[in-house]
Amino acid sequence: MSSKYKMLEELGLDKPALPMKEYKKMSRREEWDYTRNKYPEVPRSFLAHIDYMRRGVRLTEAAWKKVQDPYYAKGPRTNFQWSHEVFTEEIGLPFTFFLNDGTNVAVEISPSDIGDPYIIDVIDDTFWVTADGEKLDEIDFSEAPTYEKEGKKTSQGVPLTYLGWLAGKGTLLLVPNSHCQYWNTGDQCLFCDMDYHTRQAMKLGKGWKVRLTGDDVYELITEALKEAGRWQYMVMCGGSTTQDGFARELRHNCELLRAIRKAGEPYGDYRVPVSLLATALPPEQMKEYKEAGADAFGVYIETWKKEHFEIVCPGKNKYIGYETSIERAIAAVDVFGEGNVVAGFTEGAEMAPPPYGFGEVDEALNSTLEGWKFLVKNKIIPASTNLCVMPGSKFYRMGVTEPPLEFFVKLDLGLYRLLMNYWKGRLSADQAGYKWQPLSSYVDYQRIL
Amino acid sequence: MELPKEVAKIINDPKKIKTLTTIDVEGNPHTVPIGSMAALEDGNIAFMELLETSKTQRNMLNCYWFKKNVSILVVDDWEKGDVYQIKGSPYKFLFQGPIWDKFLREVWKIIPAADPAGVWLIMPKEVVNQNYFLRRKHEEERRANWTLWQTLKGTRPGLGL
Repeated sequence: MSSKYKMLEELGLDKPALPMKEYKKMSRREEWDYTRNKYPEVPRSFLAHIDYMRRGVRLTEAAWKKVQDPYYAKGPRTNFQWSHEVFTEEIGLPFTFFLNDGTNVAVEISPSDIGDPYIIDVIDDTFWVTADGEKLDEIDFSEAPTYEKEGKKTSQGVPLTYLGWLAGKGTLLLVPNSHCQYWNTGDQCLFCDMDYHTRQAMKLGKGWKVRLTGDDVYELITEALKEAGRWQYMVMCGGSTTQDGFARELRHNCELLRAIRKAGEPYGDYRVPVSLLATALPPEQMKEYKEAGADAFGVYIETWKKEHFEIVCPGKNKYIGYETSIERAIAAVDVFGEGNVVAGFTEGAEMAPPPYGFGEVDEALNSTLEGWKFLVKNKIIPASTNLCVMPGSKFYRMGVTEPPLEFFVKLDLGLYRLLMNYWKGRLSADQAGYKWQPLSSYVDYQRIL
Repeated sequence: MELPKEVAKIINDPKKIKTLTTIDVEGNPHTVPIGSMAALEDGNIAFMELLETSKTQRNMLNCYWFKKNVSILVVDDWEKGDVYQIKGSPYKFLFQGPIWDKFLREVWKIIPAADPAGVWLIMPKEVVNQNYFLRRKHEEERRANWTLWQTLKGTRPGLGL
């Protein structure tokens, strides 16, 4: 291997990847077999997690029908979903499914105009992921929380399912604001489809709340916590509000955090903790978040190389900037404690063609892992969401496609080795654990740290 | 294979001791007692893993992913030497549904502060009664001339020789 990929050599990832054009020649099965044979030490379910998201799934009519059973969690929200125009009008869409070992996979409905998705079918009354007529994985969808099964609403008549989104088994994703103000000036991150998706959902009359209030959240969490043995923590993540130097965003998030804390008061030490993913603010404002009830914080840098960040995340670059984002992530460790700060990435954005990314696997990996090494040494855990190119995003309009399977396998393995090398499994960012974060494949390694 | 009824009965007796042995990525065994072990009606065995990050949990995942068996020891009568070894393959890890709900209720009766990770389902592949006399008979039949070459000759105080 060329000495220019020192980071890959350091982490024992120096079996060279192929040039991108070679992956594009492979069929789904060929690419799977190539990657599986090359990395026999990586569990099969890790590859399945990645590939079921990157290629997407389609459900048969039987599977759609079975998943409408009230037993299964469904929500009106279909964020980061393909083809939502087709699937959300009358059908409830589940967010995640589990493989037999508990691996939590986001349901990414594949567009009808993109080939080779996996098929979810019902065989002998059981859900299965299949491909080319072959049964691959027995799966199940998340069980609905009690408040969903009982059709509970707030005192204002808003269904609780409109307020929080079950992410996996025991975590609610609360989206304070489904509108990101970077979209107002066309400065949204190039992979993001948030506002496009929100507009679609509003047209469908799904009625979810675009902006949550403290009262909404208090009622939701109060009701949710009545269900014993269900909940581990909550996650708050939404669009940015740039007004007044993000003061409005700070106030809004604190309002919701206080509401969650208040709902948890009767339970003492068993109150539910909150992981907040929001704009990176100066330390004194991070402390306000901590005091309001945030137990962990995520600074989303999205892509490591500064030149890529500047054009892939123009809004974040304009309002915060690359170096400031990293400085604030480091400062946040003193506020929230080691292991409680993540730096978020869209894993795969660095594979966009130049000038937005590197375009080739090993070059992209080497850069990202160099950056992740820096973060890990500073007790910040890289946490990522696998890139799925969505209609409504600028990447989609540019024709960017998902990276190869090998890219994700190597990157996740690299992060695992970094965490073991530096922290021997002690630091893990469990606030973004496998039971809540179906959109990320790296979380599977957290189970064996 | 179907779990023999008498073995299932022992597993479901909360007073009987049960252990679980798993192996890690390097092939090292790890044995722990399991209080929650149960034989299900479908013939499979289940137990509730109490710690998400435990060595046993990491090993169970290793065994599941790389198709290694685990070993369960069930002590029926220690003095009589009636102990069963069950080898099986982990095939599902549950943290929702009726099996999870039932195990959680039972565990919380005994350890209310527990924060269980999930319930493992294990498919039994082989059941062996580890009673000395049964094992010996098996070896005598398996290996030619066993009693001729494998026994201790001469003085045997317990037998009056």
